[in-house]
Amino acid sequence: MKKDKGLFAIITQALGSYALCCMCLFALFILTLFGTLYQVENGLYDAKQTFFNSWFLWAELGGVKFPYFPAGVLSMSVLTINLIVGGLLRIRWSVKNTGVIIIHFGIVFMMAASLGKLTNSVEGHLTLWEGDNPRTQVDERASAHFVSYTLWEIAIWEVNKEVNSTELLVPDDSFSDLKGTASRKFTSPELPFDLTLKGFVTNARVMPKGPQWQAEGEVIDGFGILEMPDSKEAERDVAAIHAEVLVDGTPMKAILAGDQLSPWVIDVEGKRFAIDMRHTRYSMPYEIRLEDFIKEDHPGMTMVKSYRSNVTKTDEKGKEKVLIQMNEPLREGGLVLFQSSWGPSTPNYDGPLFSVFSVVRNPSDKWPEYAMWVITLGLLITFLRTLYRFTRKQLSEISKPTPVAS
Amino acid sequence: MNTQQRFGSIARRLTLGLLAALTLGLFGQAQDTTQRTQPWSDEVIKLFGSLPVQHGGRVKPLKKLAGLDLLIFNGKRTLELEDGSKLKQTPWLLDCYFFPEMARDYPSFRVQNDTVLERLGVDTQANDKRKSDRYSYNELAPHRQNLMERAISISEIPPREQNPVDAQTIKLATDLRAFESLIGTLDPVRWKYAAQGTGEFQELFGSDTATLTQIVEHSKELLNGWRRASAQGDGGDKSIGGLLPQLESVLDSSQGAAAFLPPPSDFEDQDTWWRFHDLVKFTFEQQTQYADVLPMLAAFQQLEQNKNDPSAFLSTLEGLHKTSSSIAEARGEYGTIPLEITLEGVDPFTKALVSFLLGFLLSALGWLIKDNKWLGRAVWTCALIGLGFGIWGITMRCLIRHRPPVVSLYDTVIFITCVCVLVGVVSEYLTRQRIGLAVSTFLGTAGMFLANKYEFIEVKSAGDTMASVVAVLDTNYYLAIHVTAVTMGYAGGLLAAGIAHVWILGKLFRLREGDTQFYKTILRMTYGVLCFSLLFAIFGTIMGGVWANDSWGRFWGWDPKENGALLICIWQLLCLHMRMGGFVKDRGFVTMVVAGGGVVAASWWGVNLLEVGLHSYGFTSGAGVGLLIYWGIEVGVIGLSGLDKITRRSLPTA
Repeated sequence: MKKDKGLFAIITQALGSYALCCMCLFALFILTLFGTLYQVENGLYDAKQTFFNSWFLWAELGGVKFPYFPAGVLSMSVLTINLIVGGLLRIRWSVKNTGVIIIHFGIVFMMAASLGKLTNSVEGHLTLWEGDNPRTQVDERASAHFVSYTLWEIAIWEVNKEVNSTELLVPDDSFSDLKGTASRKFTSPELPFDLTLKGFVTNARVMPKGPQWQAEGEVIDGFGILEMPDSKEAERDVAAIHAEVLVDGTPMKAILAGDQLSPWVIDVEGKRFAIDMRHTRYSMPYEIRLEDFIKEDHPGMTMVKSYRSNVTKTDEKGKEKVLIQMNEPLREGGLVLFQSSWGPSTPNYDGPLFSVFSVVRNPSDKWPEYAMWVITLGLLITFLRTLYRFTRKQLSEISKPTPVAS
Repeated sequence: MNTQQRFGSIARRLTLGLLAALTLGLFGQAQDTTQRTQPWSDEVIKLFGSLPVQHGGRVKPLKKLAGLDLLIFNGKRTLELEDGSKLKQTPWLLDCYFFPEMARDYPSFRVQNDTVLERLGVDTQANDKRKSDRYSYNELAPHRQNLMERAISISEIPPREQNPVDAQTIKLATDLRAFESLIGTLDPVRWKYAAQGTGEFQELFGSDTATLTQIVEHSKELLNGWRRASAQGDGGDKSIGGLLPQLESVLDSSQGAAAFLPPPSDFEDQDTWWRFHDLVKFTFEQQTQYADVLPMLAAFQQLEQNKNDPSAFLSTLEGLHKTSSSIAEARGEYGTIPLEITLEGVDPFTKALVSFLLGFLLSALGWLIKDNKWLGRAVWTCALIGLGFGIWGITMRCLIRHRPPVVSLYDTVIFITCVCVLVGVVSEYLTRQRIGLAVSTFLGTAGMFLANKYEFIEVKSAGDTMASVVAVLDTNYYLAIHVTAVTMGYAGGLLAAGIAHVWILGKLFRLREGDTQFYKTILRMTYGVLCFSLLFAIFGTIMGGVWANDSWGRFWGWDPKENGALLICIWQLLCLHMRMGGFVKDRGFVTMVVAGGGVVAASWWGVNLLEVGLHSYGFTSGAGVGLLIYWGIEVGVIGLSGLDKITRRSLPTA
């Protein structure tokens, strides 16, 4: 007599099934394949957002958007559930399955690390010069903050204040959705005015309005926003937005752009305020000062052999000299600083150089490495066990006498 | 540096130099028109070939450099002359240096498609040449100007949009300029620098002409003389004034020459070797006599003077070799020269190719002549000899570079080939079905053939198959662990696919039809090798993430190369889980493994063709067609497997 399965049993069986595992793996294969090809025309950032950092791939038909394929987050989430249910809970815990269980545990751990990175990490860069920046003529040897590659913020501060005024910040996620005519008003008790933002453009050029092109939104003082296609490298995009402040009932308008050299300055109630759009800044628990940047070429060639930076890290504990170089980052205070680039690489340039550090705040920084060793252990156990059995069987078959035909 | 950049930089330097030289009428005097009257002796070839020279960021023997240059121009390391005789790399380079007029007549340049020349207005039919043939410098020289102009205009087209003829036009122009630079290497010591009228020059040198060594030796007096003449204006001594433009133009035209001179011990930059150009430049700039380098310059000058006197030439060469090698040895840069000469001489990968090919042919013969013990032993011997040559060659390359076995794309080819053969041989030892040997000798032949073909592409693009590496790769720890593991994963995946082919083709051609044990063994081998591959692919891929986390600050960036490795892992996991879940039976499993070979090829070669991402270190021009052919064959095999299954279903059962 066939015993009826309960709902829980059916669900766990389905969640831990080989079928679901194969579907997830197949989906991941397709996503990885097409996500790679997609990069050729659309760049890495767009590919990551579309294929791997979202739940679904979306299509549009007749103005209606609909999901047509599971994307990276969904596929990996379901695969993780499948691994936990099928590969850890439902699997027979026996000596025979030791290696497989360890592998599954390691993969779940790695997926957790990926989730931690996706939800809790912050990435940016810190660019320091050996001396003055030739463009701005400002000493840019030291900094205690790093800058996002892609996110923007709007900073408001009072100028000419005797004591350094605190900056008020409008974060990226508060205005990056204000496309087209959408607008939002921002208020603060510390400000004698309200700021209204509208018409955010991801990649724009702000230039004098001419007859040959259509400006996005209002033209202000003869200048308009020309929307550009998104760059393949998202960090090259320069965002722009319309800003409006109501002063004594009179609207004051401006276009804020990520590449503007100076902030928008307004006078309200006898005070002067600056409003600036810039890449999001993150403060660090210490200051880094570039003492010396060393670039070495291979002998007789223009190919760079190595580049490294001698820096001084200063915090409340004091000063410490640190060498940061390729493959040897600085891990300190929850941040990791990597030697990632340098410049200017203009031929025959003889001025001061700048050193670029990628900065990452990632709570699960070392987790993938731990997961790797766990997975490798599991793989080794499984493989060596299979090899041992295979070898024993084959050698015993070979040693059997060949039957002689009668 | 890619071809366009190389072309651009060489073009800029040489155009100026050549124009200046032509203006001064130097070529008539600088190029020696004498012909070599007897062949170079073995001693000369051996000594000259082992002279240390700095090239591509490291010190190597001149024989190696000669081989690389000839390979780039000619596609081979041996030159076939018009009379059918053959010239090896070192004698060819000796002729280029000492008898440039002869070298100009050698058919050193391979033109793969004569459309390149037809576009320049060359009547290729007139001189009885084939579509792909070799040409001498003198045959191409009349069209040089036209070629250069065309190459400059093509170089403005993005490489992706250039057609093969465009790319070959740029290569021919680059080769021509590099050859001009090569035969001009000894121009600075060959040239007799002449006085302009009478005056201080004759007092200084006791003659109307001076050699480069004399000029360097009298650099202080010359500088003072130039200063005096400059201060006196028109009334000053003009005899040495004309020396400066001669010196500049000759030295400029030899800027692309090899660096033969180790830097003097008291010089600041101790890493970069000097060309003749550098010695003159630093002597005048620093106003210093570099006594430990000057004798080497004098020796080259003597070699040039004694080139038609074999015994004097040999004696001078012995002296030069002794000086040069002892300095290099003292600097710790000579140790790998004998190794590299041995490697060049043995040519292990060609020998491995021959061994594997013979092994495969004997293995195929074994299918016809069954149960022949001696034939089986011969196949084993060929496979092991080929493997021995391969492993020896890889080990030598590791010792020469002080690097793990896999650094460049060329390394991956020879390493993957050897791992395939090694695992195949081990599986044969365990199964004794002659499948492992047949597949491994076939893959060994294919791999070494690919290495032979790809060597030219890598040398053309990077200058050497043991080229210097970019900054991020300058870590032996990660190169040894991550890259080696990933390539072992590739090797396993390809070998598994190779063995799976035997299952499919065996079934298709009804081989050992009733022998279920035979097919079970193939299946077990495929499964085992796939597990081997998965072990290394997963470890290597995640280790790559750990490296990326230390280098770039992110464990996984969805970069094409990372994705390629991930695709292999996912596909192999899919194969195993589809099998374990019962969704595929034997045929489905081996078919998936065959498709897995295509995934490995995509990761190995395909992602480099996309030309995006941080890992584009390899040079894969021309690899796209090969990859498409391979995929096409695999699709055909998979299709035939499906057809076979359908046919078997429709056959009436007995």
